[in-house]
Amino acid sequence: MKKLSIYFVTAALLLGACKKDENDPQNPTPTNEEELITTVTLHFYEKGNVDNHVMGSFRDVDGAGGNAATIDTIILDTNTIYTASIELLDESGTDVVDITTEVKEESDEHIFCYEPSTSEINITITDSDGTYPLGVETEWTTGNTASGSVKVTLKHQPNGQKDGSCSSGETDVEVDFPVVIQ
Amino acid sequence: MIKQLCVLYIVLSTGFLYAQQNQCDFILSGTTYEEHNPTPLSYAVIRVLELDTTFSSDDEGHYILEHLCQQKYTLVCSFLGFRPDTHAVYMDKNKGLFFTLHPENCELDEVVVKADKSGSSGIVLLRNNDSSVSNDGASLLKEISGASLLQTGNNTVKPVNHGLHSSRLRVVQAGASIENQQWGEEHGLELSGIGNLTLSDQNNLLYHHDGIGGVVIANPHIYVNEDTTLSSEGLLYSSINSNGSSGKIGGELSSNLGLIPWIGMKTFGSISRGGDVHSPMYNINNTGYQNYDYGWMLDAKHRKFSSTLFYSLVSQELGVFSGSHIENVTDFERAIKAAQPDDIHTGSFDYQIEGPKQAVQHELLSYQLKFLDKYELQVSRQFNQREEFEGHIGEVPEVDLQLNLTTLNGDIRYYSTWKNWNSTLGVNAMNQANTWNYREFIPNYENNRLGGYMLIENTDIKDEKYGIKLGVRYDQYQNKYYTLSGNVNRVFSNMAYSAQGVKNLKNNYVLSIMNGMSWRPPSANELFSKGVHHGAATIERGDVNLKKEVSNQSQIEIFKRWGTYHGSVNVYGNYIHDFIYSQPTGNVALTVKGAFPVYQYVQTDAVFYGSDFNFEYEFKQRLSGFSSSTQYTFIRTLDVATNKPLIGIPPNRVEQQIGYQSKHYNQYDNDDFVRYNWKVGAEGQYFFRRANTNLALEFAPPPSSYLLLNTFFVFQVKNRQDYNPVNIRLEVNNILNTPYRNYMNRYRFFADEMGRNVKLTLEIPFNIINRNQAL
Repeated sequence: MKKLSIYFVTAALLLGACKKDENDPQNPTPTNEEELITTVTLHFYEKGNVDNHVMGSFRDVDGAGGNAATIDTIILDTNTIYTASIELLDESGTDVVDITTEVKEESDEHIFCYEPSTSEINITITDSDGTYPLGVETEWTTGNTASGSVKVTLKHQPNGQKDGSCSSGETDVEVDFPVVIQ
Repeated sequence: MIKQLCVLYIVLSTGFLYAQQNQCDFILSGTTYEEHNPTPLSYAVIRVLELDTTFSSDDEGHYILEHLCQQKYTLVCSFLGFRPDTHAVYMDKNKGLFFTLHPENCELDEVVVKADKSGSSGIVLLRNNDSSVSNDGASLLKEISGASLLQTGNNTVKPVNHGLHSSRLRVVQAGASIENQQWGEEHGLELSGIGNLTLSDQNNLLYHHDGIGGVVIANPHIYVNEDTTLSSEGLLYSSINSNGSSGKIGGELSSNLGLIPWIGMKTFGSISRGGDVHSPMYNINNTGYQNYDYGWMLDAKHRKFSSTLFYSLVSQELGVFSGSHIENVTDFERAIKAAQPDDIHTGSFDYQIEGPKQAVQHELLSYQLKFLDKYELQVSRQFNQREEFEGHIGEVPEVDLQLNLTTLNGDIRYYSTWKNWNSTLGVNAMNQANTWNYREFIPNYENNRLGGYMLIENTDIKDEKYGIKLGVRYDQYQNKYYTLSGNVNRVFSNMAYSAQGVKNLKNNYVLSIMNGMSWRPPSANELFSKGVHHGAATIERGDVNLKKEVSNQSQIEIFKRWGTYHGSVNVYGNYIHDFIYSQPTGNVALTVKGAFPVYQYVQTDAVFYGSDFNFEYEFKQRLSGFSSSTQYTFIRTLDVATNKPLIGIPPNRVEQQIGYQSKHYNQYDNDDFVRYNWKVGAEGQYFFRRANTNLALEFAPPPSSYLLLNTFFVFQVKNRQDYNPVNIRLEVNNILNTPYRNYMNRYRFFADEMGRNVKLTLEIPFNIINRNQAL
């Protein structure tokens, strides 16, 4: 009948136009194409004795939630000066992505801050974006035996917000590393 | 769309007189008409209840009933596409009785408590002329006492009824239960082509078993008749807002097919765009939006069957306030304590939608086929895609999470009538598949449900003194979750029932009592979520062993509708077993962005109870033209295990509106044609501080109470007596520019609500009729 055929034709036209899901529910997509910082590693080289290499990492490979993160304790010698650098990685996918280079490229929008909890550690930032400190490269001076922590913060301060301090902007990294000086 | 007052008029004619009055020799005759059409309606069906017979009017709309006895007769006149028209007549002589049918799309021009005798005390809110056609569904619903809104910023709103929302408030449109990841508080309501909108406190088992807080039903409709001359009508509307500099343009067009009778088509759509809104003291950045929606409907009717095909697509791109996405607890605590957001988030106005933002598309295709008024098939397909974009200011937003939800649903129903009892038997099957991209916040899954239900209703017990509605339903789910750590299968099943009784008391009071049981299985986020919740700076952990929630609810309501006033008061209680909510564990988890408090989904028994009151009155005589509307909503909750209240419950509120209107505002008298009409009104809304809450679970104490003052002015211009007027509406909301924070806005921690907003709306209806014969 004329009437019925109209319905079927229209219905057919529409079903073809419907939006569809491209994925198969039974095969979940492997994780993360977005960029995450999963790993924060501090490398220390004794000034004048580069064989003395210490490092410590914060690692949360599956991102927030999921399995617990791991934090290494950084063990430094007393009364030593270290040249330190920080490394940010995305280890969540099949390839390891180095995020540090991006931060350096956008140095005018990023700043690292280091807050030791004990006076036996003194940290100065040795690199800069031209106007303000950046904080990828630092120098750590240790005193006597002590134990405490160092809070490492990375702030993203776009649109000219950067003023040399860590009081504004969005926090991309905030990790408290336990530090032991012995 | 035909807007009419539902006027029923009985013309008694004593035209036919017989000298001898035999006991059973009376004659009842008349004509059947449809509203707005002087040409009679042919072949209308008339049923005489006392005689249990059915006949139809002839091709000129005339009917004649002979050999009637000296007694009362109840006649119901009906016609496909129209609402039945019922009259009682006492035959003590020959009489005449005219029927006037109004189409099913007859829209009442006021908020009406749906006090029909079938016992549903759902509240009907149709196209209220005091609000605008261009408003979306959620905005209309918040006008009802007992209902409110849950907001995430300004761009995402969803309805709340009696304290319940999201997975606990069922939404149905065009016969299909809407599935749009409604578990997310920050997921809004994406509907287009709403049509009639009703909110019912009681679950409607015809559609689903999970209406724990009630059911919202959007019922789009078109008027279909046998006319073979082409006629079209529609509406164009446009609105602009001062706050946010936003605008919307949309329209609807209904038409028959001309040469082919009994087919109606409707198409509708709108586009809208807005920029940053501002509070009384500062701009709120990145709160713009860009939306469009369109759809169409195809209706075919015949004596034996009717079918409806409905399609809509809603697409939204919604900015999320840049100062609300805080992914570090220290920053979060600082933002909560700050009096206003950081300067970087209160910069100058623009329309740019940067990260963070949401992008949603919802597509709905629904088909309904009804045979002989007995058999019905209802099938629907929905596809919902949600994308959440991260991104700080100045960066290109990146997709952080994408969810795709496909839902197929089908019902087969059988309707039957036995004496005064109407019954519906149905079976339902649903299949739903969810997939994600970018981040596994909830896993892929495939859910299947099978259910069966039976509803019976009797509207005419003891001559309409009582009405009863009963329903029972059973469903079973087989859910398969494909998580990255392995597959999980869960099975959920339960019964649901609903019982409503209505009794007409003296002096036009009506008593309505409802009792029911609803339930819902835990949603995927409650079972599996792991990770940072978008912008709430918490880590939420699901619990795969959660059980289903089962609610027992009761409500008593008394309402009275008499001439120029109607009022209602209700008292309700809802006991929800194994109520699921997210609770702080006291632990923190270390993430690269700092330590985040960990929240865990848990179950407890919870009680929701409260009362709603509303009263509307139209003044007469010296104060004629004035009207008043008063509302009060009150709700409290209790977590039975801890003996403390729950959080996130809408604050109590009182509203008072006064209006004044010109004599023929919203009227369609045939006698007086008045070209210009108007109405002016002012409303005060007082929101109490949410005192009944559990401060230990709150991120910040609830905001203090506040008063909002809103005003409106509507101007109507009519071109023809029986056509809809052109409406021009000016609203000034928050006219005092009161700074306030809304407890039901998830972003209340970060910024004040919108300040004053001036809104101008224009609605232009039009009719295009091509008739061969002059009217």
